Amino acid sequence: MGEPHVIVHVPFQLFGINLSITNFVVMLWVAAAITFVLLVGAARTATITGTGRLPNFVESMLEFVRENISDAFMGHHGAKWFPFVATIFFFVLFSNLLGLVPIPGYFHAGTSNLNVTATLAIIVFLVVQAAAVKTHGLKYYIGLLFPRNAPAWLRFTLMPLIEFVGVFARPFSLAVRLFANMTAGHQIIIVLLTGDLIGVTWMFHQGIIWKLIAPGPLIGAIIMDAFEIFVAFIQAFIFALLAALYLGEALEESH
Amino acid sequence: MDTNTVTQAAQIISTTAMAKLGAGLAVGLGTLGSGVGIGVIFGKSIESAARQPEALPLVQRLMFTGFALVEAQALYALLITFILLAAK
Repeated sequence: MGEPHVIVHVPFQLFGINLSITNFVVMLWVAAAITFVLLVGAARTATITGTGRLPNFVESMLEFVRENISDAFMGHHGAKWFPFVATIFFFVLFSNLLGLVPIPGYFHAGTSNLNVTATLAIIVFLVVQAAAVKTHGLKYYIGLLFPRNAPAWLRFTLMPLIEFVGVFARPFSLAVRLFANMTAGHQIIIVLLTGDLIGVTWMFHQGIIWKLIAPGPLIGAIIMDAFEIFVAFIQAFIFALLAALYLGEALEESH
Repeated sequence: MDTNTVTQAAQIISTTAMAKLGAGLAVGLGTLGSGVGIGVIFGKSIESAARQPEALPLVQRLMFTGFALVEAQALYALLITFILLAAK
């Protein structure tokens, strides 16, 4: 229960760090390759007059990301940071969606591993801190820990603690949200199919009426599979949205 | 409550059993608040979309945002369940 199985294909270590090629590594490579081929392929075949199906399709998705995430949460910085947000969105989206392909040993998303989501969350955290320090200098931390809008009796006593915890709680919640959403759906599907919840194996040996009821969990698993597609899109959207939100928050104030 | 019987019970029941009990309680109680939150979010979104249909795209976008953020709270409890189920 919990994390899916890790199948090691090529074990190798580098300076004592386990860098073996596992099935998760292969799935992340495939997701990155799909992202790269889709976006670069659409960019190469795009024309001024807007013909061609692939560029139009990719452009509609990019417009969705730009309008709903970049411009809505980052204001006028949206144009500069849009490639970062769009890359995060597409990588997480394809990594989530690849988990629905029922190849044995690969029926889990690349992001249904806490290490992967923690890495993505740490990347977002580092980018936010670096962008904030680059625009505001080290005064940014003073403005963060002692916020101007708080009343004076809170500003130096409780707000620093709350804000300090908040800085580290955000990437943690990003990682856990994506990991738990991706793992939970697959666990439900696996339990429905293999868990013998309503006594399916007994039902198959009874009369015809019991045999008709027996495919119930299979129908449930199909419905959960459709819901998983929806959850994959939503979670990719939320991850990119929160990354853009934290970036926008760090870049604003006195601009 | 007699503390003697409580300590006796705690010595008899294995830690694995207590961990699994805690795992069931964690996800069961954790989805309470999330259920209320999602109900409130969708109720208010439907109400505001019925009141002003031109605002539907904006309301829909905010609704999905709020849904994912509230759903994550229940999944933090699910994470504790996974941790507890792996206890020895």
